Amino acid sequence: MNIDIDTINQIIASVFEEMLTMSTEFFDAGDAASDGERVVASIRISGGLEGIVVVEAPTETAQQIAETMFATDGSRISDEEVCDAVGEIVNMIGGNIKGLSDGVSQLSLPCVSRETVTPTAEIPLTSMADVLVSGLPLKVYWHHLAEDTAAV
Amino acid sequence: MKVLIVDDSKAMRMIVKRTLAQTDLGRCDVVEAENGADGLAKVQAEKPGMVLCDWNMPEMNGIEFLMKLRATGSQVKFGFITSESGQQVRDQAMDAGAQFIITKPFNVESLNAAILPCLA
Repeated sequence: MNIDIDTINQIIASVFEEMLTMSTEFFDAGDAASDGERVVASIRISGGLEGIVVVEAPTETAQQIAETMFATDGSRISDEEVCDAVGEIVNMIGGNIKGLSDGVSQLSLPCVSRETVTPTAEIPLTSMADVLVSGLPLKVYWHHLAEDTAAV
Repeated sequence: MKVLIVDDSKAMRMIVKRTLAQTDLGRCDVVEAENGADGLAKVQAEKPGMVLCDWNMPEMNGIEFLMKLRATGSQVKFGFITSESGQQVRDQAMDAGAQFIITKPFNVESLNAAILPCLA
């Protein structure tokens, strides 16, 4: 099953615009690596569809997402809550990508960490979305690993 | 009506609570739980009229929670609010006794449409 970038962009837009009323604007950042501290959240899809979704949010973006989700200003948001918010974003994007497959698949729990360097990719990247969320940058990666057609 | 919101994400519990207040249910008593095991205890202690529950959670997930809840004889109105969107998940939820399942992202309209039949 081929999941194209337009479909992933639609899912991303739906998550931010429909539920959080945060604007989205997609752009092409090329291969430019992110710098500075970021909150990185990943989730694994396994079964009929196999893949990993990664959301990479610079600190300012992650903070803004958390403030929107908690409907409060930054001074009241803890580091744990910022990670929780970005984890929920990858959970929603991952769940919707999983739902595109007819096969039986499972969704893992999100894994969230703070990173300062871009990890070396050990698995092939299928799609990458660069998006401005309320004017702040965010990256979403989709690594499509395999598809077990027998499970469909 | 008292509503129990079960989700391991504090951010999502906050969003559900805020969205719920904008539905026809209006402001209501809300109790929160972080997973199914916590949810089971809260149902016993708080006697909610409705449970809004995530699917994927550590310790005890949503479907295990619902099955254990129904095994106790509880007929509390139960709806899933989850990123899970496949037909298999939907069937499993309904077979276990859920009244509805809403896929995230959701909004006031979709939540309202789902809970309205439970308010009758």
